[in-house]
Amino acid sequence: MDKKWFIPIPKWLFSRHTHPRHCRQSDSNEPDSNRRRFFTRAAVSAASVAGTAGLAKAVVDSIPQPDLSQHYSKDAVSGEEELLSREYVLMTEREKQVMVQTLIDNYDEKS
Amino acid sequence: MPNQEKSKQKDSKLTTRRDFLRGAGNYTVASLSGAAMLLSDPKPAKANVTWAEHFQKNYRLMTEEEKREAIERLETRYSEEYGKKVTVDDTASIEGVLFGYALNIQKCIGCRRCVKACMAENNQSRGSEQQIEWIRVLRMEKGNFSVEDRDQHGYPESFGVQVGGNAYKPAGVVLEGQHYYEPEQVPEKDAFYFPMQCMQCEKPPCVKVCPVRTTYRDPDGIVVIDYNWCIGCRMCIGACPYWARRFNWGEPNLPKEEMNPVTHYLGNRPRMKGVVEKCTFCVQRTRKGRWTACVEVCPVGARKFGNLLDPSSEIRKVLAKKKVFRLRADLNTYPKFFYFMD
Repeated sequence: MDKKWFIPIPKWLFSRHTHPRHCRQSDSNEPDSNRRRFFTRAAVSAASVAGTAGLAKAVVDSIPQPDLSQHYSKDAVSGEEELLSREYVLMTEREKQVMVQTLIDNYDEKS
Repeated sequence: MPNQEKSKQKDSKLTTRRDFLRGAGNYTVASLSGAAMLLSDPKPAKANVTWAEHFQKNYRLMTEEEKREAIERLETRYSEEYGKKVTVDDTASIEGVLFGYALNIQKCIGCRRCVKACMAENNQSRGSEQQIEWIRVLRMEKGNFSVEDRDQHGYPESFGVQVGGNAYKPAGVVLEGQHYYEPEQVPEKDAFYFPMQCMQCEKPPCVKVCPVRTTYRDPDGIVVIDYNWCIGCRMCIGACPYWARRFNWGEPNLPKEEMNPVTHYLGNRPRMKGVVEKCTFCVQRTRKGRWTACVEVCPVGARKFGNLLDPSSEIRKVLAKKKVFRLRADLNTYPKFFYFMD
């Protein structure tokens, strides 16, 4: 059973001698053949890279962009709901003193 | 002869497999690099530093040399992007300083100049679609705020059984307000205003939950964020009981001509899509001995800022002499942002 690839990959990439043009005819032709093969491969590779990249770009661009304002306002609303449940408390003199002292002690401890 | 044939066939198979692997490898690498190139940001300044930024360490773990390199990269990038000389400061905490903030809610007139000054100073995203404000001013109806001494009325109901002489006194206000009020004139007759921003907690829940330790509390009490390490998980947003953190859902919109070029690495440098930001007590200013932008701009002097370790500072005097309120004191986050009344 023939294996089918999702992306068509040229056969010559995997087998050097399948194409008659790529077969070595004689020693005198070898440099020419190599050079031709190199350029052909380079050209095809470049084309396939560009094709893949273009496809990837198209796929990424086609993803629908989210509606940013909705996200931002959703954050604001949930924050507002959060704040609605808050209550302020008045601090007593003692609490204020203890709090300031705690902050100072905490700083001294860390430094 | 049959052995030789077999050997040839074996060689041929090996070559084919090698060729296959080589070809597949080349093809994959070429395709991926091509795709990466096309998908990467086309802006040259950004592209030049993207890789370096991507692989840089957490700011706290960087050596001085690495910090210097990172800052130079950013300065170059921002200067190119915004077409002006941008500086990125990395001034550390001043020794013997613990910043605190107090806001007189009786004086606040709800003009929201603090919001606008903060936006301009701290390079926040603007525009109708993606506006980010570190300060939110809540407008509330007058009459809901009572500060009467409830000691004479027994323990407050909502606190249940009080243990150990806990003397919390509910101020009698549950915040019910709106942020986007547009009055013709401020202050309005029947309203009072409650500006909200990061409380710079002494025990910040946002720091505790950050899975990558990108947000942390500096010795001067400011909770900062290394934007390059933020992974945008929004855990800190969920953990903050004061709704002080903002998330960049999109690439921030910061017009070149409005960009403040005096920045701090942990403060007002331009942020990117997918990171969290918040008030930093204008770290780029306060570590240089200046007021925060909101304190400076407040037309009624409702905002007080200073060193909590200095007994003669304004903030300590406020704490000693005024009626002071705390929000969500039950959470034991020890906020260093206080509300007060004369």
